[in-house]
Amino acid sequence: MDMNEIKEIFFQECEEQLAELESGLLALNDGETDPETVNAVFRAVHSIKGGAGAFGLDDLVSFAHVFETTLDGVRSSQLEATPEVLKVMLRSADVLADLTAAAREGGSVDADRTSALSLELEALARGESLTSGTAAPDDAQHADETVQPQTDTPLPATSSAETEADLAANDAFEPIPFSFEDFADEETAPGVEAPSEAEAAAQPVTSDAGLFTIRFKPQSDLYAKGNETVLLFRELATLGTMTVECDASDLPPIDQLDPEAAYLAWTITLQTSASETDIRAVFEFAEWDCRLEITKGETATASDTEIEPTAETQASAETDQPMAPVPFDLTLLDGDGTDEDAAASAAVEGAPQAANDAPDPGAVATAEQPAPSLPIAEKAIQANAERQTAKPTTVAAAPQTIRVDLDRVDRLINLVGELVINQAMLAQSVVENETGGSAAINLGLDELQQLTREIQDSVMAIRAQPVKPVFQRMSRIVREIADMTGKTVRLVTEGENTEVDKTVIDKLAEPLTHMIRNAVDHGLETPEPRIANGKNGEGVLRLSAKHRSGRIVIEIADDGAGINRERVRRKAIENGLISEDSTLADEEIDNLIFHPGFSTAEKVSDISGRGVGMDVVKRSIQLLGGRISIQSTPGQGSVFTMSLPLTLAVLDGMVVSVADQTLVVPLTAIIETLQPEKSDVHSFGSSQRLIAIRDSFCPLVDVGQLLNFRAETADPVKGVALLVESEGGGQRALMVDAIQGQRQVVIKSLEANYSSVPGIAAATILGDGRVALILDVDSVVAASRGQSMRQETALAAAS
Amino acid sequence: MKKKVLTVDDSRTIRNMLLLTLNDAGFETVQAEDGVEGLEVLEESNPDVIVTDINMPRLDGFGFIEGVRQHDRYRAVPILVLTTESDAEKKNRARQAGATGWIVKPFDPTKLIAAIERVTA
Amino acid sequence: MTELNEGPHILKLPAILDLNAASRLHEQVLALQDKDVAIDASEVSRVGAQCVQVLLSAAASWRAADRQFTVKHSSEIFAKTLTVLGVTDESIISMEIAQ
Repeated sequence: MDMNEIKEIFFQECEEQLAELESGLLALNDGETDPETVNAVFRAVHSIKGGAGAFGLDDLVSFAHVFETTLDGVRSSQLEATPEVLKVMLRSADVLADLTAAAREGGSVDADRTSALSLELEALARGESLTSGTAAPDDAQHADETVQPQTDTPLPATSSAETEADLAANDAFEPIPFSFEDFADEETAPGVEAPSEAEAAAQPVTSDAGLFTIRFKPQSDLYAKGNETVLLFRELATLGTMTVECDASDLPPIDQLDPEAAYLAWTITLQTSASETDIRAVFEFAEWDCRLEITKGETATASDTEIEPTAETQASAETDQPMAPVPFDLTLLDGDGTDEDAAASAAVEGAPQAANDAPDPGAVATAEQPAPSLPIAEKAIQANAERQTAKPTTVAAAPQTIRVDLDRVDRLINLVGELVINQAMLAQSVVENETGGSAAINLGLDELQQLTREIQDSVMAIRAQPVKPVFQRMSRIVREIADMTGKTVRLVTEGENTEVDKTVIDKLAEPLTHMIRNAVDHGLETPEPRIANGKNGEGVLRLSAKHRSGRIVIEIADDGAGINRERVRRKAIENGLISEDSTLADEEIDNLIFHPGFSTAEKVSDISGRGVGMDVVKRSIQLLGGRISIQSTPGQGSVFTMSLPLTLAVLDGMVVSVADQTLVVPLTAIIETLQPEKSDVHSFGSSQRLIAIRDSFCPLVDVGQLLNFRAETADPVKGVALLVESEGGGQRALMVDAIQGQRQVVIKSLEANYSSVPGIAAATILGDGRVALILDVDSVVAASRGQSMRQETALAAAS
Repeated sequence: MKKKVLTVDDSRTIRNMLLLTLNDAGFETVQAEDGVEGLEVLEESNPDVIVTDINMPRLDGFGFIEGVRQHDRYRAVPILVLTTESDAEKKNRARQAGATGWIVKPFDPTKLIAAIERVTA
Repeated sequence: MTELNEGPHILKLPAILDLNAASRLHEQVLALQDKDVAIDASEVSRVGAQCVQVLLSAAASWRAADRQFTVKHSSEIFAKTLTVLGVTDESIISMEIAQ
C-alpha cells in the first residue's frame, strides 16, 4: 500500500460518496424527512473533503467545504431543505462530481459555474443565519481562512508555519504546530531538514526571553478525558531545563480523598529557547480542563504555599478568573498578570528553601528526559521520510471485500465458457463411443456437468452488478436537460437494485442517456402547456428496471404529450421514408422514430445530439442482443421499453432442428412445448394458421419458412410447437421439426465474428463441435406480425 | 513492546492512510468503520490509544467517545479526534464527550505520530 | 492502638497505576490505616498523577497519625515520575530508593 494506491481508493470512495450524496438529495427532494438521510448526505461531502485535503486537491476541498457548510445548516435545521435549496444542492453535487473527475483524470471544470454555485451555497448558508442569529457568517469566514493551511499539510512544517502560529496564538482553534517537531529539528540534525535561517531568526534569543513560569492546576476532567499531568511535564521537559514544584496544600486527608479528583497544583520554571506558543502547544489538549498560567521571566515562588498559605489563597483567587475555558489572550497575561505575580513573589521571597532545593532534581529530569524522547522524534522523522516507500507490516483489519481487476474476472469467465463447451463435448463423445452403459462414467459426467454449472453461475455472479450507478447518472442528465430546456422534471427510479452482468451495464449508459435526453427534450412539455392541459407543471420521468423471462427490462416512461403521429407521418413522407398514400397503424407510425435519419425536432437541438437519433439507440441495443419498443398515448406520454440479456456470456437453451439446421431457442422465452394434433390447427386468411391451446388460439409461426431455411410450409403435426412469449407480451407457437434437448450454451457473438443476422441473436458451439444459431425469439415474433425482416437470413442458413 | 492504536473512521481512504502512517511508525493498528464497530473492537483489542473520526454512520464519534468513557476497563484510554474543521463547536462537543485531544485532518503523519506520543505513556 | 511488634506492612503496587487503579489503591491504603506501611513500587511501569495523589495524601495522613509511610522499593519509572511531578521533598513522602 502506498500513497498512489490510497489515492486510487480515495477516488473509488468518492464515486460511492457521490452516489450516496445524490440519492440522498433526491430522497430529500421527494419529501424524505429522516435525519439520517441528511446526515448521510453531509457525511458524503465531508468525507470527500477530508480525503481531498490529504491529497492537496485544493479545488475539490474548497468547493466541498462550502457545500458542507451549507449542508451543515440543513443538518442543524437552520436552513430548510426547500425544493429551491435542494435544486442548488443537486447542481452542487454535479459540480462536485465534475471536480472529482477533473482531479482524477486531469482536465478542467467550468470554473464560472463552480464559483457561481459556491456563491449560491454561501448565500444559502448566510441567508438563514441572518434570521437565526450570530454564528454562521463568522464561521464561514473563519472556515475560509483555515482551508488554506489545511490543504498543504502533507509537507514537512515550513518555516513560515512558526510565525503563522505565533500570529495565530490568539485563536485557539488554529492548528498549532506541535512543539515536538521543533525539538526534533533542533536536536536531531541528521536526516532531517535543518531549521532554516528564517526559522532561527524568527526566534529572537534574548537571555531573558527564555525563562518562563508556568502555573498549572488540573481539574479532575483532565484525567477523566485521558490526559495525564505526567505526560504533559515529560513533554515540557523536552523544551529545555525545568524545575517542578508540587503544591499539595489542597490535598485532603486520605479518608476524605476522592481518588479520581484533582488536588495537586504545580509551578514550573522552564529555561527554554522555545516560544510561549510552543509551551502552550504542550497544554493544547489539557487547556480546557485546567488552570494554566504562563508568564515570562522569573516570577516564581508564589507556589511555596505550604509555607505561606495566605499567599497561596491569594494567588489561586487571582488565577481563578482568567483561567476560564477561553483561548488565552497573551497581551492580557503579560500586562496584567506579571505585575501582580511579581508582587506575590515579593511577598514570599523570604522562603527560599524549597525553591532552592528544586533545581537539582529538575535538572536530573531534563538530563534524562531526552532519552525517551529521542526515539519518538526518530519515529516521527521515520514516518515522514518513509511515507513514499511504504512497507506494510501487520494489518489487523479484516477487509470485507476485495477488489479484483475486471480483466481477471473476464478471463475466468471466458475460461469457464470453454470449460462448459468442453464438458458438453466430452459428454457427447461418451455417448458416441457407446460407453454410455457405464453407470460410473455417467454419474461422473452428471457431476461434472453440475459442477461446471455451479462454477459458471458463481463466476457470473462476481460480475453481476445492480443498475443503480447507471440510473443515478441519469438523474444528473435529467437535471441538466431540464435546466437547458426550461422544463421541470422529476425523475422517479424503480428497481435500481436489479442486477445484470457488468458487460451489459457498461453498455447500458449510452443508449439510456440518449433515451432520457430524448424523453425530456421531445417527450415532456414545458410547464405552461402542461398546466394548460390540466397536468401538473412538473413532468415525471419514470425509469425502471426489472427481471423478466431471464432478461432485464428497462422502461423509460414520460407523462408528456405522447408522439405527435401526424407530425411524424408528415416528416416521414418529407424524408421519403413512406409514400404519401400509405396507411400505417399507430404502432407503425410510432416505430418510424427508430428509422435511420429520422428526427422530429424542428431544429436539431444540442441536447438530443446532432446525428444521434433513436435509430442509433436502437442499433446499439440490438448489438447487445436487446430490443426496444415504444408505446405512446397522445396527451398522456410515451413508454420506451428495452430488454436486454442479463449476460452476454451464457444462455440456457433448447436445442431444436429446423430444416436440417440446428437452432437454439432461449429457454427463458419458452412457456411450454406442444405436440399439435391435426384438429388443433386452424387456417385463416391466406397464410395464417392458428393453433388451439386449451381455450385460446395462438398464431403459429413456421420458423423454417420465416428464416428462409426452406420454401414450403411445414406440416405442424409432424413437428413440435414451442409456445413462446415475446417481450411485447404476445404469445406465438414456434414450429420446429424436432427437439434435441436442453443445454447451456456459451454465446458467441455473431456481430463480432460475422455480422448481424435478422432473427438470429448469436451463435454457439455445441458438444459435437458444430455451430448452432441462437434464435432471437422477439424478432421472429415481430416478423411474424408482418413487420419486415430483411432477406439476409438465407446467408445465415448457408453458413 | 508495540503500542496499539485503534482507529475508527468510515472513510476507506482515511483508514488506509492511518494504517500506512501508523504501521510505518511502528504501531500496531486495529481498525473499525464506525462507532458501533469501534466499541466492539475495543473489547477485543485493548488499545493504548484511540483515534476516531466524528462524522460516522450508526454511531458517531461523540457517541463512541462517550461509550468508551463509560467503559469500566477502557475509560482511561486516551482518545484523539480526527476533525477536518477547526470548528470550535465540534471540538467542544468532542471534549465534553471526553476526547483527550484532536488532530486536524488532513493529518500530517508527523503530527499524527507526535499527538499520539503526547497522550500515551 | 497497640504498638506493632512486626515490621511495617508491605503494600505492593501493581504495574499500571493509571486512573483506573486510583480507586483500588485508595481502598487498599485505607484498609491499612492503623499500620506502618512500606510501599513496594518495584514493579511499577506506569504512574499517573492521581495515584501519586493517593500516596501523597496517605503519607500526610500517616505522618499526622505519627505512623510510618515509606517507599521501600521503587522502579526507575516510579522514581522518575515522582521527580517529574516535583514530588521530591522528604517531608512529603519519605523515600528510601535503593538505586
